Amino acid sequence: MIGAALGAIPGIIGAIMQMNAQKQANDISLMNLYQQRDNAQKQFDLATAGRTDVYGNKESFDPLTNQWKTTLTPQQQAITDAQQAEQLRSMTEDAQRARDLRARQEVRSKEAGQDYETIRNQYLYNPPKSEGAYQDEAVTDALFAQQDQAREAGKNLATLAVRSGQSSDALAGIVNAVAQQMGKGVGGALQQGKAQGRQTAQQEQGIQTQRANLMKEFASIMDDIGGYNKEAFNTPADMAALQKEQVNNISSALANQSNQLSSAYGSLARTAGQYPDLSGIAQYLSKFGDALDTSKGGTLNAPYVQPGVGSSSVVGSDTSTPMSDRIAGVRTYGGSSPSDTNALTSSFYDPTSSFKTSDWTTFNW
Amino acid sequence: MSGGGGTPQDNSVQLERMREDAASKAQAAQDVKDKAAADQLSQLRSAARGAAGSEAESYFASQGIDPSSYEGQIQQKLNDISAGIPTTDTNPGQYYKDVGQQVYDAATSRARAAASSGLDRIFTPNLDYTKIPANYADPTVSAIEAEQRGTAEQFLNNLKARGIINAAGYSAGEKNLDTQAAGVTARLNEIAQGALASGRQSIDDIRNQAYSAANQLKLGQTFDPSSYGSNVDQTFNDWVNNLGTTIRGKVGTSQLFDTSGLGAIAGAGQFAQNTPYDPNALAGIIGNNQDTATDNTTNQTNRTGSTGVF
Repeated sequence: MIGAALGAIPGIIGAIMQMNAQKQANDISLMNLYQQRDNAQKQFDLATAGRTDVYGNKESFDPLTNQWKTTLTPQQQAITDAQQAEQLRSMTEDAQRARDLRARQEVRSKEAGQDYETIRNQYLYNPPKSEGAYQDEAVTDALFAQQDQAREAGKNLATLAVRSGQSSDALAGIVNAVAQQMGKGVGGALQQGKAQGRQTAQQEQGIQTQRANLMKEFASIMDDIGGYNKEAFNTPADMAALQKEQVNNISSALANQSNQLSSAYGSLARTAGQYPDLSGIAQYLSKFGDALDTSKGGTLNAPYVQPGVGSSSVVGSDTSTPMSDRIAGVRTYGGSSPSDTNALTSSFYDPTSSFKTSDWTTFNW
Repeated sequence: MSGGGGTPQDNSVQLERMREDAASKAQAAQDVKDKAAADQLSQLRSAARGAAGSEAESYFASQGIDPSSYEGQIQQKLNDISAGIPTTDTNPGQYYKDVGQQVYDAATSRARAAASSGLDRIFTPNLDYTKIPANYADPTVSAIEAEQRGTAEQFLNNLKARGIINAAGYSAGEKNLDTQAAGVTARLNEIAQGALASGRQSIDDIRNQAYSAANQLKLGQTFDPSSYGSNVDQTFNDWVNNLGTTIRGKVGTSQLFDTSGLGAIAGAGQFAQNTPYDPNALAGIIGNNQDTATDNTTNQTNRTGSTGVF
């Protein structure tokens, strides 16, 4: 009997050692979880920190309602109210007008496109003639006019000569004189024609310039679509930007810390019930012990794991709030302590599963 | 629900399996949902493309164009647009807006570019000056100047024949005509340059007309650049054939050489001599007149013969 009892002692001692090791591992994992939660809390605190903008407006997070609240200065409130009133009017009145305007603009734009094409063709393919061509026309006109006048004068002189009984030689003299006169007038006709041609060319060039200006105007009308009433739909940009920034911060913090907590919690879950490999955490324990040793400058903010020879214990209790638990993704802790009866109820709870989370409530921390 | 002290039950495997199952189910459900959404979007894109193809064909038909002739371009455009539509876009139809007009405009632009390119081969740069250079009218100007000079010299010949001037006076008159020749040539050149400018303008007008037609070409219309080339050739030939007439018409019956002072000039250049007074000669009348009183009498009896000279 005694022999049998003595024979069982090593087994009992081994079992006790195994339990101690198991507990130590659990404590470490739990501490890791706490640390992650503390980090999450800090992140949450940072993300939900209130702020005051340059206008004096205040933004703060209300954990009770889980909402951000914006407190505007009276002046900013008045501005916002006026802005919203204008915005409402813009959307209910101006928008319709703007839509009508845009429709008209579109019609004008299409018409302008056709007109532009017409003017462009005239500009490119019906340009003014060369100055030489205009001068040739004008010189021809001047010369022909001069010839007509000389011819008419000669005819009158010839008529007078015949009626006055002049000889045919006198008539020949008249013909010769007329030809001489016309020859002398050629220079003047050239001068007059060239001046007239130059003037016409300048006038035509002016028309060409007008075409160019018209093209610019039509092009402007064609491009006018889309630039209407942009200001009518502005929102209070400053506050909107701030709120967006806050939301981004919170989202980032939640995503980051949720991942870490999930990892830590998974580690805890895996450690529970498994034989721990203490060699892998020996180094961590020594550092952790120093950090918690008040004689070495460490702080003992509860809860923390108190390492011991052959055993360890958790000091203090879970002080996390339900709000921080939820925000930090640790909804598994419904109560204030990991040993609460409702602990570990949410995170892995599957209503379709037969798995009973109550099994975990018997966990001996 | 024991009060503790025992080894906790290891549920980690079961827990992991549950998580994986849940994740797998969620993923499967999401996959089904995604596939349904993808199928729906694919159908939307197909429907949008089909509608766009019909719209394009309808647009071509409305322009009086057989869409089958441009089916390749329509399909190419639809493919281009389709390739650029995000697979997640719930409104693929917006990308096909006015696709018919786009294809029509693009085809029109290509047709116009081809027409213009065809014209470029005909209307080379400076074609007007190439065909009608600045010295093109020189022979005509020289011919007219010679005619005018001949008329003036005939005047001197008459004076000499009547004995009003002698050889020395004739020579002085010739020198005066030489002096006048530069001015006459300048005037004729002025007139000729105007005619050349008009000729060049005629070519430019055809060129502008051709490019205007090319740039307003509508799809389905035929365009023959060579017809404008033929037009240029025809216009140029007509212009060349009429160049002499054109310049002479401007000169008309004008006597560009001034002969009114030639008698005095010639007289000053010769020795004094006694000759009978001839008013006709001094008047510069050109003709085979005689210096005798009989001739004067004859001329008086024939005075009505000059009627209608104007």
